[in-house]
Amino acid sequence: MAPAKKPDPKSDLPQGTLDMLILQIVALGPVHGYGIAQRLQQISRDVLQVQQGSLYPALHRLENRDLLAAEWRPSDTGREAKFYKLTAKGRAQLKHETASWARLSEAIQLILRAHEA
Amino acid sequence: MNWWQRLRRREALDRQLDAELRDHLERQVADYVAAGMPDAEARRIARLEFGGLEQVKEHCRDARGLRVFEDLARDLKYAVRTLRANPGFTIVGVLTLAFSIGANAAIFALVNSLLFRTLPVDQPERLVFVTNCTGSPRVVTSLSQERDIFTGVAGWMTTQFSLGAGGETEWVDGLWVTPGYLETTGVNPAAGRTLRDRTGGAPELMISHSLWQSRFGGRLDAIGRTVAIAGEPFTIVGVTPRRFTGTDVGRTFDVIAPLGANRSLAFGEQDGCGSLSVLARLTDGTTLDAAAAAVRDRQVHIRERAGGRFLPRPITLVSAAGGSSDLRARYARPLLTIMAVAGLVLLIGCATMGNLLLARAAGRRHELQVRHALGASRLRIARQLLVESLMLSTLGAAGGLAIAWWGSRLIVRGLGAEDVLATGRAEFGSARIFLDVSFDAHVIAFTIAVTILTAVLFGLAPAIRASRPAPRPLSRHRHQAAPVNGLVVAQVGLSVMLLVAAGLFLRSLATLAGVPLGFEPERMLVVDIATPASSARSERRLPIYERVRDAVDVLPGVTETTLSVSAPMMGWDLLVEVETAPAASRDVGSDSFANLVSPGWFRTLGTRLIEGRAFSTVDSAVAPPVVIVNEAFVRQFFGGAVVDAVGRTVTIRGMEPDEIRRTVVGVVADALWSLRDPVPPGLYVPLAQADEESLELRLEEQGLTLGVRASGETPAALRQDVTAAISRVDPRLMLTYRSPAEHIRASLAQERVIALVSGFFAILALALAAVGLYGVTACAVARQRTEIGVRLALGGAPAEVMRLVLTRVARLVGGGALAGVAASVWLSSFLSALLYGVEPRDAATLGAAVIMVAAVAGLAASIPAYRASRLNLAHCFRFEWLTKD
Repeated sequence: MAPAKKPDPKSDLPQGTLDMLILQIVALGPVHGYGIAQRLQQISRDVLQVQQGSLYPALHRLENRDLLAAEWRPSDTGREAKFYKLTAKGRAQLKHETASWARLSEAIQLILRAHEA
Repeated sequence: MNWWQRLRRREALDRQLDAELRDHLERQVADYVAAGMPDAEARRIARLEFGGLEQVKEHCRDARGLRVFEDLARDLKYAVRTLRANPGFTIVGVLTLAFSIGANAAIFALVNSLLFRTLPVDQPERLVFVTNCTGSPRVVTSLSQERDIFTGVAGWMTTQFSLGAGGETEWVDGLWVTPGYLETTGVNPAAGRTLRDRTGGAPELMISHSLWQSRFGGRLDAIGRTVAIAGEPFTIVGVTPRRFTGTDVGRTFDVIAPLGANRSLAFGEQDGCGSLSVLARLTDGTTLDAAAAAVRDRQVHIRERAGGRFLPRPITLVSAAGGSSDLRARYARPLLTIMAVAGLVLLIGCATMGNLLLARAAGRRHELQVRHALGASRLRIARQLLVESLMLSTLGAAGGLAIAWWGSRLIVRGLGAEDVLATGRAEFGSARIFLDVSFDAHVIAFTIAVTILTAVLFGLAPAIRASRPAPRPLSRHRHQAAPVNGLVVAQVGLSVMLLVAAGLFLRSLATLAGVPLGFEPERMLVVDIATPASSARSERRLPIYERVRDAVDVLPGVTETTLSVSAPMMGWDLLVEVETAPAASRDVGSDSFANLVSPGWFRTLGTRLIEGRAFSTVDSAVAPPVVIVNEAFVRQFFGGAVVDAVGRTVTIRGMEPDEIRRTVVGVVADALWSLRDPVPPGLYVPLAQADEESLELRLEEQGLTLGVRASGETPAALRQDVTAAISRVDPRLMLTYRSPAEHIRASLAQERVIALVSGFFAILALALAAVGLYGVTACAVARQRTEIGVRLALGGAPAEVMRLVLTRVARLVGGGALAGVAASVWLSSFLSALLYGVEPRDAATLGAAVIMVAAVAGLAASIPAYRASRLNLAHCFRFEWLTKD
């Protein structure tokens, strides 16, 4: 990974999808902020560039909306780290957002294919 | 965690945020190091990648959703610190705002009380005044039978009662009312019950809350007690609520008594008495228009039921929700004018504060730039500055409310005293002005609105300008200087105008206070003595008064005593027609005022005898009829020749049934009967020579006045002795004391209030102009820093720099002063009615105002000018270099 060199071309995240991605990652199990950032990059194979500048505010926002719960517990480094996990409300929200995303992308695909045809 | 916990645990949350982000960085660094990067490089790259740590933190705090509260708390703390660090600025700002806001709140409290309040009664919107209606009890009864329109109809009239059965009595404001007055008005008694329809026994009355407190200490046993009105016993049955002062806004009452309760007190024939005011309460759901139409339809019936003699004109109904007020008509316009002036002063105050803040913002540029660089958004900085403004104006408002509380009461007191004069003898007609200027929701809301508006007005422009990410040097905004200068010119002009007005009023007051009275009011005590109404008519009253006089005359501490029909300074009330021989020219008129006095009158009052002799016991009923006239009389009827006056004859008509030719035996100096009016022709006749029957009638109605000259400095100390001496003569006599000296002081109250209010506004405007000039000059100096620095560096003298700065200021002040003088001259005619003995275009006053404004302006501007001349050159250039963009 070459952090100083930005992958090009990179895509901006559509508005509102960062929350969904975070919820999806946290759904896999309790994880800290750094872990979320790493996984976001791994999963998206370096196509999506998520700045820490927007990751942490998003995490805090989700925590405030009770979609995520946070807990300080010892981690592999020996220090305490803040671990996020999904709440019941968060799980429902994730389901809802995934469904609507699927609908949306399907609709967009349809339009694009129709155009091609 | 709810929002309150989040707010309270802010610091813990901040620590956690810090730890979380640090953890992130540590892990990143560890990963890079594991990938083979040197430690220092790994740290650098991790930090770079992460971006601005503080900005991320700010955004995370934003995500908490409580930023508004958190920041407010922080802004407040910061504002307090900033304001405390600049005590000079803070004090000037708070005082400026306190007086501006206070003036507005005070005037608004008056306006509110007089114009906007609804009566403190049950459902005031259903209350109507019945006008165009001959208000007699029979009409009231007839109207009240229209039960589908009115749930109640009542009539009332105001009067003055002398309270007390004998000894020292007190004149109180009273209401005569028809049955059901309080029920119709919608007032529940604060204690006891309302008046019942008369069923024999002692007549009943209700007292006001204030009389209850002052006379009976608010004790419940006051109910059931008997008080005497004009010597007649009445039983107190109830107390009216504290806030209810009748339906006449601006007036109040102490006593409510049922009309016709006592024949000797009722005026005239009951049926024929048409002087009642009538009010009615509409039935639920009836609109004013519907009721008015219905009443007009049935007017013929209503009229017949009332006896047919009344109601010649169509009855009209007027909403009574706000009460009625003769004061409203008299004072509404002046009050609204003053309100407008106060508003103008407030606006100028806002602009001044804005200027001051702008000037200060130049000094805070560095601070704000640093704050911006540290991640504060523009909005955040602007809000911080607005919070500072709001805090200033809130402090100002707190001070302003105190000023308003005190000021509005002062004005009401002044107006009250003025009204006593307007009605002449205090006991005729309702005299007291009473305005409830306590702060109600309206006044508080008004003050809060003014406070916020003020803060936004004066704080917004500086906040926006100062929050620019990179404030450019002010010299780029040279074109924006023009409106600021215009403002200073307007301020100076307004100060000149207000100072001129204040000066004229002050001179007016001084002139009035220095008017020769023609008598010596100090060391004088005046007692109005009335005999009880039920005294036997056959008994002559004059001998009683003479015995009273003899009894008081021998008291230690009393040097002179005298009896008279009219008291000094209370207005003449006996107008007669005179014919002189030889006849005066026809066109001068033949009216003169007259007074009936006992021997010793002129000595007691200290009025100088100019020619001839004073009255003595020689001038008895059987002696030749004599008269003494004043100088004004001589001027009008005898062509001014005082010496010739003695020995002439005067025929007096209108005082007694017969015309009597009287010989002038003396001429006395003009003694004032009212401060503002020129002394009218006046003549004095010995009491002993008055027509017995007319005099007795007058004594029965109005009594006599006893004048007492004391040897000591404090005539009031004699009151107890005098009361005791008079009571020994006849315990039923009712006494009311007055002090001419106090009366003179009180009669200047209106002038004093006007001088005070205008002086207040003048000084406020002057202070605002001074602060404004200071701000503008400081701003200009800041802009011209480099120029001034260069001048100084090239060897320019500091005095030259000061001159440079002050010349500019002098132009502004000169323009403003010129405008102010022109406006004063133009508006002078509005003032002339309120002035006494001074021309509205008085050159000395105009000149003094200009000099005063110029002096204050010079002082205000010379502070920044002096600072400019002492510029530290090194600092000056370094500063300029730093702020170059």
